[in-house]
Amino acid sequence: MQSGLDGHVMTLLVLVKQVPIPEEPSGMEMNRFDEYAVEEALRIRELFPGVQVHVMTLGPEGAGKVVKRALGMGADAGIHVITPENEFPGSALTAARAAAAINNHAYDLILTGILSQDRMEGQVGPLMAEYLGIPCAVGVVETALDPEDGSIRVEREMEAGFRDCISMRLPAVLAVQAGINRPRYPSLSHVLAAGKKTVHLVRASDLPGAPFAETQHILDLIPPEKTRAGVFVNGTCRDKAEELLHVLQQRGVI
Amino acid sequence: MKPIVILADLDQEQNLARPGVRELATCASLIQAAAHGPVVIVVPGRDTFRAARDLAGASGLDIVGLDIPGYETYNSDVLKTCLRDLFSGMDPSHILISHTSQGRDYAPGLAVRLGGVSLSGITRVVLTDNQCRFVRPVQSGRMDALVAPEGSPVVLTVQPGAFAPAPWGALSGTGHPVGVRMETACPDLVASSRIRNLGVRSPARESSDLTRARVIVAGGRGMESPQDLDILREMVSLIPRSALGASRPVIDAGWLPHGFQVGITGAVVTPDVYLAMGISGSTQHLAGIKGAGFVVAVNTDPGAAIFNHADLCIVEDFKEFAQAFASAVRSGKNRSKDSGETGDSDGQ
Repeated sequence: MQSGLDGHVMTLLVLVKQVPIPEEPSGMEMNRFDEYAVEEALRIRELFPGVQVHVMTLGPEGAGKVVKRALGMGADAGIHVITPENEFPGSALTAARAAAAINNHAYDLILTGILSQDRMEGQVGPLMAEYLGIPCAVGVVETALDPEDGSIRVEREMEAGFRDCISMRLPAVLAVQAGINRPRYPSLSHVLAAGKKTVHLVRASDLPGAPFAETQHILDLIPPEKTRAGVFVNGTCRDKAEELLHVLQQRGVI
Repeated sequence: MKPIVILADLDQEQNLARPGVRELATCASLIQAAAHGPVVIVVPGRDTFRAARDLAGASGLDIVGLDIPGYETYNSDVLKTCLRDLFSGMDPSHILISHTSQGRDYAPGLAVRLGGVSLSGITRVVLTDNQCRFVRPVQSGRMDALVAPEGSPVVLTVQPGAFAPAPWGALSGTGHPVGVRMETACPDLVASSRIRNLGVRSPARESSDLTRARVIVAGGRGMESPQDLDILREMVSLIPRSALGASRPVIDAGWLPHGFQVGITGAVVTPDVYLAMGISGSTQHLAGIKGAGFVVAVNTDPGAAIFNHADLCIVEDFKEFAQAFASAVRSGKNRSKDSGETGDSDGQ
């Protein structure tokens, strides 16, 4: 068993979210950025056998499916914090609940995706780290865990391809960037085994310290402002191709 | 009046505030119409006096230079602690931070330490009933949300490029700017930090023609396999002085090296024409093509975010469209050959 300085089994927690599929009305799936976080945790476990990977989602009843998917990828156990239907919580509410839900479990490392496709806030990881009083790194593209030292070395993506290299004391929170790895698909053997794995269910209203408040309210959804002409070309595919050729000729580039 | 604080990002090498500070100033002036407080710029870092003095001279605003002993490079743990200490004395209503790799790393935690609210990646300020509301993208950029923060201070990360850089002098500060006030953070913050800096790694030098190309043909999330890139390469071969590029998912999948990536995290490009093929239009990608002369987007999804930021919008599968384009170019060439014209399609 892989153990830290004090001899305890290292446990990782990955936060995953269920989000709507834009092209499919009422279709739901795992936020694709969270797949990288699950994969990274599984890779760390492969490097340090004995490490446990737990996965947590906060969402309505139906959101348990993303926990199942993560278990199918190979996670060891799941937690589903059941939130009210049609709530669409902001990052601060989700982070406060997540911090409350793990209150009694000392995770060594917590991983999240860089942002969710629906709310796009990218704040659950860094907010939760602060609620738990532990350090955080956002935009992680490389990890190297050092269990004996109780630290993790990470590289954070900066602008124009530069990387910020840091070493963090554990426990810590990492918001991992897309591209850090190639997420695996759920395997049949894991999917079959997932049925036997524990998924701990807890209602958000039963969490210690609940209820937690929203810190922001979405008043309206509005179509984004156009920053360019945005002229749609009509006709057949061939007509549209001819139109592009014409435009390129007019602009003298072809 | 509670101040509206702008956090300047210090280029520690140059000892200068990064230009993003002027975009934050524009955003601050819009907030000021409702919040009314004076605008103050805070410059945290090592030996900040010169940068603070230059900024005071240029902006006419009050500047706080926050010297952090031993601070070499960005450290979120240290920055959050010393800014909390500074702001507990200043009591700001709003704190504006650029939505960069640093801003999004420390802004949410700073808001928690101050007992406030954090909104990320805001692109507009809307005043209604003398209240400040903020616009930020949701649903993969297909929609914008109008958001009202509940609490104070409001920590905002501001999308780079969303606000025009302010002409200095358009802002009102305290009315009697004292210029620069210097503060020094607690001396053992860096040594006692739970985060240790190990340096900054430079990108691998990869050759790509993105910065020189007149036309960029770029592929994105719509690609299903690396072979799909060959269709784009064919378009590149038909357009003189053009180059292949890609958005993040193509690079993440390992189909092209990082040098081909267009966007804030890759290359910021300024071609005459940018062809976005099967690209949905993430914020960081859009920020990287802002300077393009003309943007053409091809996507099967009419609701894709890219169409709000394109000049010419084509709802088609990019593969079929690329093939149709290739045959249109070829038949155009054949026509000019048949008629004996030299034509302008032969690459000048």
